[in-house]
Amino acid sequence: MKKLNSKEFNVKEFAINNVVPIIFIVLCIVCIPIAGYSGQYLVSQIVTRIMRNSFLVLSLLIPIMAGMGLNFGMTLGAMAGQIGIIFITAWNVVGIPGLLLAAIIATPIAVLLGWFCGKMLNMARGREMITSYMISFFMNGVYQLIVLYGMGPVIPIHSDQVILPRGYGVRNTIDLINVRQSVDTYWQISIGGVNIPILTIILIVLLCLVIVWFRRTKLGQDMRAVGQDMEVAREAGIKVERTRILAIVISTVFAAYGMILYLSNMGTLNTYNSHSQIGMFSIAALLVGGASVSKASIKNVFLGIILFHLMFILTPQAGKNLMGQAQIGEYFRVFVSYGVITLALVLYEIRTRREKAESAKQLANLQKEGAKA
Amino acid sequence: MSEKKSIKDFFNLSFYVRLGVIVIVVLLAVFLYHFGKQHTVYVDNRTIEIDGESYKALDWAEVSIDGRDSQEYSPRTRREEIVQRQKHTIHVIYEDEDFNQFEVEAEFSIPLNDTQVVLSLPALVAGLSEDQYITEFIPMAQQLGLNIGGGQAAAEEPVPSEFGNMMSDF
Repeated sequence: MKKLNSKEFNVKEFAINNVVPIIFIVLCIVCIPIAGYSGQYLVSQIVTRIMRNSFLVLSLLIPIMAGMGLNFGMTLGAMAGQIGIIFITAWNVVGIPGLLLAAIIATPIAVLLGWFCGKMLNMARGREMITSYMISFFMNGVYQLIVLYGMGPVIPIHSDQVILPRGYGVRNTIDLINVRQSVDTYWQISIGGVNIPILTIILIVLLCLVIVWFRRTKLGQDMRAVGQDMEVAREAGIKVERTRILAIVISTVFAAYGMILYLSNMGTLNTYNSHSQIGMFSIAALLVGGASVSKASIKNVFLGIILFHLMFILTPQAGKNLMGQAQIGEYFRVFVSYGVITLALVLYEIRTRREKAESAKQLANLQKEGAKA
Repeated sequence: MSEKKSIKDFFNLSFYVRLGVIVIVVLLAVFLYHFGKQHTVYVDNRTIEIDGESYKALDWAEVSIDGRDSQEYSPRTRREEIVQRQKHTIHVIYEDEDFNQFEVEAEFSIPLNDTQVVLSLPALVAGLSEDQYITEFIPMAQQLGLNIGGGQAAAEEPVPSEFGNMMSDF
């Protein structure tokens, strides 16, 4: 006997729903032999990149849960994290205490920026993604003004390591030697020549558990309700605007912590570019993992980071081996990064329209049947 | 109609809990600043003049800071030691001209805002006070008001990126 609610596995439907990860898996399978890297090298690179990027990509999950789409405003959190890092470098506070201090400095800035972003997104309901994208551009200007002209004369920072020789403005690049990989190397084991940073893994697992736990809390349930239907949620007595602001604030704060971990792993701060790059790549990685604008899970985060970064590692070498120029692989990964975001947005729109059309058809059929009766 | 909140409602339990959390976080930040701040100590064995009196460089000395491996010092030697926190101990074994060995152990505290300090061994073994044998290190170029390397440093520096060279337009 067949179960009533059981769904048969439909290959076509599965392929349509997972077209982006499938494309990336095929690309990686094709590129691995062409690039000619050893398995150990690839695994070690992937482990490094998972540790570096997971926190940032995980920070995107909560706004998706609240129906606010991909939070391009995570850049604001990244800026807050960078400001924390700039301060600890100027004060010469090193190691894990330095990173903790950077997180403490970044938190109120991230909360403030997240609150501002959330307020704006409430005003631009239905157009959250493009609005958050524009807010990130706008705040980037404010950040540059503060960092380039405010730091030194207004905000007292006198470290030669941070401030330009003219006496104001932060250097284009800051060497983070004092905090470089301090979390990763604090507790590290080696398996088959691949270094596994245990403390970083614990932090990432903790964040995953927090997200899982958060979904079950009252606030988490409220966010899901708001994400499904704002009007129904409001009728049910949920403070929709407040819930949406909180989603963005939490995401921005996590993004700030993620940026601190990312920078400590990289060991270099690109003062005027790091944050704008990171928003786009975190979103691209999440989409590559099979997430959509309205649905994302922890599984999508890790699959996305593995596939997206595997492609990043492979394509320059594959391009070099195929055409004799690494630059070709470089071009390839640029258009793939932009392309995957575009593809995911288009697919989401198509799916939404199809669902709307189907529900309209069902409604029309019901009305027809009602009229006959 | 919305009811106005009284002052009593505002200063409720959750207000005090939040205030307490903020105070704890601020205290934690202050602790981390003190605990994580790194200082460079230049242990210096050169003849030094303090308040018109000259203190001759030690002929031979062995110095250990905070129980680390000891290092030998001959006259005109300067070595750097990188330390965290403010309070430290220094253990010095030195010889005079007649090869008599002496031992000195002292505790010193680095001023919080000084990232680099010079610790003079001759002044330390002479029993001078802490603020006399520890002085802030000011690079010679800065003392002379020169901007050596400033032009080069101000120029564009290469920026390593995880995402390659093409990604700057993001």
